[in-house]
Amino acid sequence: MVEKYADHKEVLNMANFALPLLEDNEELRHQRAVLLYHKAWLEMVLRAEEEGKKFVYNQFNLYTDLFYAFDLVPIPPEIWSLTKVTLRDGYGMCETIDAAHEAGIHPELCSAHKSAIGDQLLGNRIPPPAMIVNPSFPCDNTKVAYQVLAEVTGAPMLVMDCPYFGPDTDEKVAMDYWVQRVKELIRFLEEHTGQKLDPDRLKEVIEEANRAIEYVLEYESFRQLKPLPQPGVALGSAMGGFTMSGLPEYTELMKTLRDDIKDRVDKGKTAVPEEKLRLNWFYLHAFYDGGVYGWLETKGVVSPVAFHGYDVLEPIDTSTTESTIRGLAKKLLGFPMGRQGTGSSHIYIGDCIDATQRWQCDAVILSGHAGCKYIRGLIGLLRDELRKIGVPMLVFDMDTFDPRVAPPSQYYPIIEEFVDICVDKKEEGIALV
Amino acid sequence: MQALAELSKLADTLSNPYIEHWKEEGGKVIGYYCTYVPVELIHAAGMLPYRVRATGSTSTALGDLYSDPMMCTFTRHSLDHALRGEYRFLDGLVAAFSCDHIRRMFDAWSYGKVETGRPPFYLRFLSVPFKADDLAVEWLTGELERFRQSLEKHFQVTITDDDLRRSIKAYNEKRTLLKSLYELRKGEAPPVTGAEVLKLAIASTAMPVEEFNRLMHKLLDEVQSRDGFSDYRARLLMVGGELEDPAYIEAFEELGGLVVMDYLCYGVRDFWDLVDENAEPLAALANRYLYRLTCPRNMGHRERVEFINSMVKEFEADGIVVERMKYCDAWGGESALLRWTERKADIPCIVLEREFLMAGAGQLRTRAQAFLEMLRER
Repeated sequence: MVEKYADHKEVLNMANFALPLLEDNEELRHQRAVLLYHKAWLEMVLRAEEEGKKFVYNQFNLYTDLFYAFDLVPIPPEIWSLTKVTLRDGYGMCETIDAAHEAGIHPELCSAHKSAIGDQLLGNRIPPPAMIVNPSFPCDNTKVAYQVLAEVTGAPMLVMDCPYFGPDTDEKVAMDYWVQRVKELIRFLEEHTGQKLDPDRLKEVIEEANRAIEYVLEYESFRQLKPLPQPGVALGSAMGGFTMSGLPEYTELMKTLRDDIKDRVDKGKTAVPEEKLRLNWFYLHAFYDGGVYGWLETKGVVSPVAFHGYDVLEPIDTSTTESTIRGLAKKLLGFPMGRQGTGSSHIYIGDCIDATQRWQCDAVILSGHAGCKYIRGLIGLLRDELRKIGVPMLVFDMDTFDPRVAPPSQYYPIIEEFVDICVDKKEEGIALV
Repeated sequence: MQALAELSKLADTLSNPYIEHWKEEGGKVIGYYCTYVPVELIHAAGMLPYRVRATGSTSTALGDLYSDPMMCTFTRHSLDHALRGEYRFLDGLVAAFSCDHIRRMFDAWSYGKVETGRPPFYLRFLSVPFKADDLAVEWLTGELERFRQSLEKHFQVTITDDDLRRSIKAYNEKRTLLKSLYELRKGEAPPVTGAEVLKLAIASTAMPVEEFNRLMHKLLDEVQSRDGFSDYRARLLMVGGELEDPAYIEAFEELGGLVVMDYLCYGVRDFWDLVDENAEPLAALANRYLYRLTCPRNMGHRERVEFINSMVKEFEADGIVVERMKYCDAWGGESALLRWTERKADIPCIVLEREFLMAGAGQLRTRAQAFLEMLRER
């Protein structure tokens, strides 16, 4: 029998080892902030179990604000599982993925969900939930995986049914329906926590989250600058929005990211000495491969924006409980990835084009995560729309969480060929498409 | 078995003489994907609802331009057909939010990638809830009212509540007739095979419902004098998604299995539940389409299992065959859950992966053979 949460304790040990090494290193300030944040969340979860607090499994496309208003501890099972991805040389999730396969879960399911299911089947990997909350977006994978998680854990689950947002949707009518579902969520949480929603506590949490939103938007505006002031890939509200949004730790993270990039702008620092190409990574890249951005930067290629670094948020009006709930409902539809899964391809395509243009990108890269059908199914349409605005696109097959599907040694040459062609064309003044 | 022969032919081709005649008379044909589309509304508008299949498709070369190798092969074949102009007899297309594959395929239509030949082509995507409760019924009722208005506006027709009531009655009759046929399959010697029933079910979605009902009455008379099928090794209940190829069921039935009941997209999920004819029509439709036997795109695994297991008893099935289209996540998760559940209930259950085309027929027969042998030995 494996020690309880052995992998996550190991990740904590690694974080505790790495943090002193990152101190006093101005260049790595934002990496340190991200590591501190995840450490804080892991410690909170482990402590919470000892304290007898209740856990809610929140599907990872839900901001956590409301759960903290109920003094719950949110664990998105996918995120909990992917926390261990860098262990065992990047094969950290493979054991739990394989456990799901062996139990009969189909291999084409998203590996984040396979791993989350595997965590349950193997036991001692994740604290058990008192309740589960799953919106019907972004995709089939989540709807299926959470039905399985509900069956395996036996925990009561609320499915938040979201209307479809297409070109013909009456948005006001659709939003009214969604607000009803958020109110249903509140009733569900009241029932399973045994406490009524405290409007003052809700206001407190949302106003804290509002402060974080302002920092996020400011941070992202700096990432639009040319040349890019800060190396690495963009980190937006999704960086932790599914774990501690509504808590001061999350606000502090977003503030640090904003301060770091602002400081770099004030000092005239850039991500690379000579910027040759700007990429929009409008899908998640491999979580076991954080080095790809640094490698590209050695070639003068920067990554100003990514799927999870593109936010369309606005602060919530907390003047009344009703305005707070309506604002929260709107925010819950805006989580990067969740948002694009709420409706037709026009949302994702429109956002990708907007990100490409506002962040002044030359090309789009999609890490074609195996199992992500709601994105893979629109690639042809996206290609056509990007061609119309002269932007080339690269899609390569891989798995965001399982390196066995397509190891970096397989896709690095593909990326390299693509960026080299784009750089050469740019230098020669030839259109990229 | 004249009626059976007449209806069975319709499963072999996309179009058929009924559709051709309908078009010649100036009628409009509206294609639809999925059993979550309330066909009564299309019928009430005076149009022929036609459930879109990919019959006859042999390639996805064109379809893959706007799809992906990891997408469901049914939708890829169907999109391929569309891009090649095989659905040129349609005047419109309606889809429900069944799954990621259907919605992305529909997006290819809405982005104008499919040449429809005569603008303006009617397109509509329905937001159908993923669970059934009062809020969902209220939402879907409103959605159906918007659907009604869009049909009226596009085609310059009026759809009254009385029109809807007549359509509901006609489709309830179809459902009742099919259920009557299913009742006959409970006996020791069912008068029809599973493959034959699939053909009938497909025919019911590819012709005017009034004509179908007329022929079904005739068929129910005809089967009374038919010698039933009693020479089988095992009675099977087949479960799964979009299955439109009777050859798949024939692969089991040629080896001695007899499919006596199902939980299929072209089977009971399409017709088992009636619409309340006494309630306000749109609300009645919303109720029926939400509370009906569900597909795993909906929550409600336990209710599905309860129904399946009760049917195993009623139809005295010896085992369950779950057919799952590769890349279908809804059925992927459901088939795993079914396997676990049926193991606990000690009901033999086999899960088989398939693609739209019957490419692995030999492999299928081997596994079918093994399963039937196992059932015989129990």
